[in-house]
Amino acid sequence: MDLIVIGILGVFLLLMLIAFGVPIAFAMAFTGVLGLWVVEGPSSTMAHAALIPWEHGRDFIFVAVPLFVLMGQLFYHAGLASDLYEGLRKWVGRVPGGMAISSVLACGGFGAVTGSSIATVATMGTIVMPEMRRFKYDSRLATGALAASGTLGILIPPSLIFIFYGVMTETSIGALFIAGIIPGVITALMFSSIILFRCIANPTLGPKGPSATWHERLSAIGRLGPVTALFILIIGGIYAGIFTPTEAAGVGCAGVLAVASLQKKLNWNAISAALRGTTLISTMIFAIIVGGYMVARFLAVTGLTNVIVDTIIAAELGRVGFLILLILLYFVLGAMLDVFGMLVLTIPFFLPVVLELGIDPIWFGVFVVIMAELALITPPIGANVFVMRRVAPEVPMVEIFRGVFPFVIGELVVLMLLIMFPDIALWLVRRMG
Amino acid sequence: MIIKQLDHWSQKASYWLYKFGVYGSLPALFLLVTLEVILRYAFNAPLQWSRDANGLLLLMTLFSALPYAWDRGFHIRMEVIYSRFSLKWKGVADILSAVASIGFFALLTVQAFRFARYMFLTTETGEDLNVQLWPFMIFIALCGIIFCARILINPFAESTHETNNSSQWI
Repeated sequence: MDLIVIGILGVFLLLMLIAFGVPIAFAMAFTGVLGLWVVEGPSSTMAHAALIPWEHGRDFIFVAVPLFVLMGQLFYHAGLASDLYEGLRKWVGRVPGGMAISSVLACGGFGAVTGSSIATVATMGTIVMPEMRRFKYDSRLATGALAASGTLGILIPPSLIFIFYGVMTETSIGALFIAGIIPGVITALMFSSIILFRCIANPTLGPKGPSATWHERLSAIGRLGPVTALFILIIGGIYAGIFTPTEAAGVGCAGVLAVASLQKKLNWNAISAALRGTTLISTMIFAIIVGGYMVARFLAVTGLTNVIVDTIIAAELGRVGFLILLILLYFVLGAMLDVFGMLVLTIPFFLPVVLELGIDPIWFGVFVVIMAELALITPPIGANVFVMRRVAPEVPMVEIFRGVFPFVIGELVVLMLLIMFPDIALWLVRRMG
Repeated sequence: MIIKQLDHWSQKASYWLYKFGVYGSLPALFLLVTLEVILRYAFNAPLQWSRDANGLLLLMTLFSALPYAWDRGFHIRMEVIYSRFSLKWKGVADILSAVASIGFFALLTVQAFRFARYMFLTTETGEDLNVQLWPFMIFIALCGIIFCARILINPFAESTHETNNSSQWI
């Protein structure tokens, strides 16, 4: 049988297994070994089955995954986020929609330590939602702003999705982190502007919060200290070339432990929960990466990857046409798959096309993360919206999705800006130490 | 009776392996990376063997939690179609899951034993860490055996009865 046909059959088998609810990692690994068995025979297949996990499971870059997850989990379980919101609210709480804007900025700050979108929504939602209820914020605006702002957790470094992409594509994780900073800030400003303009147009949506004296404001700066210090330590260290991302992750964990200890928020339960969560999440990501490598190896052997690259290049879509096609594809996949599943299924196919079209893989990493952000807030999966619903059970799901809609538009505008001006992501990277 | 015994022992082994990863190898990994940074930058005395050791600790952490993650339904799956299946089709899908997972892990386990034997005979060690690697390959094989046992005993994995656990930290 022709190798390309075997490759196509393999892809069909993979899609069928995934549709049947087989865990994505094992669907890919099984398709990979079955395909390699057919194409290369048993001995080579068995060698791949053991060597791929053995090699990637000891990869120093991958050490960054559990350590960054651990840092975020420690920060989350130690409950260090409330100071962040309080500090920001003292400064911007008085502008129209000020509490919602404070929550956007606090989500950005929380994202600078955790790298997780879901944790950001769950934590900030729990802290901010009761206050917004008290000040009679429009429930659609409040929940929509929180669910959308949570996505800043994966764009502002450190970010789990950046690490995942970096490990899969062997792209510098440090460079990816740096590339996420300006788009992350622009997204936060975009979300804040949306809230501000909507609340100026209709003040009942988001009334002004309580006023704060200058003394309170100045003392609030101190509350932002731990997060700012950790961000400077981690990202500054990577930017200046002092730390590798893995070392920065280790130092970040130590930093969170030190801050939590100083604030007397560290206890055995928090540490234990963080360790348990970290181990399971890292294992899940590892299984997906191993499965992704297995299936990518199989597709490379059949030559199907090359055929896809040649077909897309021959279609002469150009850079922008190809990216618009990808945006549409990611919207469809995001409606069916988890973010990791979405990325692991597309990156092996599209990264060669990206490179062939002369698109910078670091820029593409930022593009992919913004697409992941959109998948997290658009129906039917929209994981952030589901978490928000748990935080605000009185707000129907449809209302939250409606509340998120203006931010989806804002996110698409950021994406368009990124496509038109790639330097938004790459300018800082070029200046890295 | 045999199945009950297998369930009992594999569940116990899966749990202790997970505990080993959570409270043993993961904290050790964190401490070693941090210690290495301190020694490198504060004392200019880096540990030559730390990368090899980190890799092995990472490997143990990741493999030790695989069987437990299956039991907890932590692996990502697409549930949009699955949740609409009838009970009969859900059963078919669960068996398919088990076959696909065992298909890969059975090969991995057998080959890991073969590699372990080869590593033992050639006394293969890490690049900078002068420790034989075969026990770690055996560890992978043992995790593979326990994982296969858990799938055989619990082919449905609990995730099918729970909400999307896997997305909780994205």
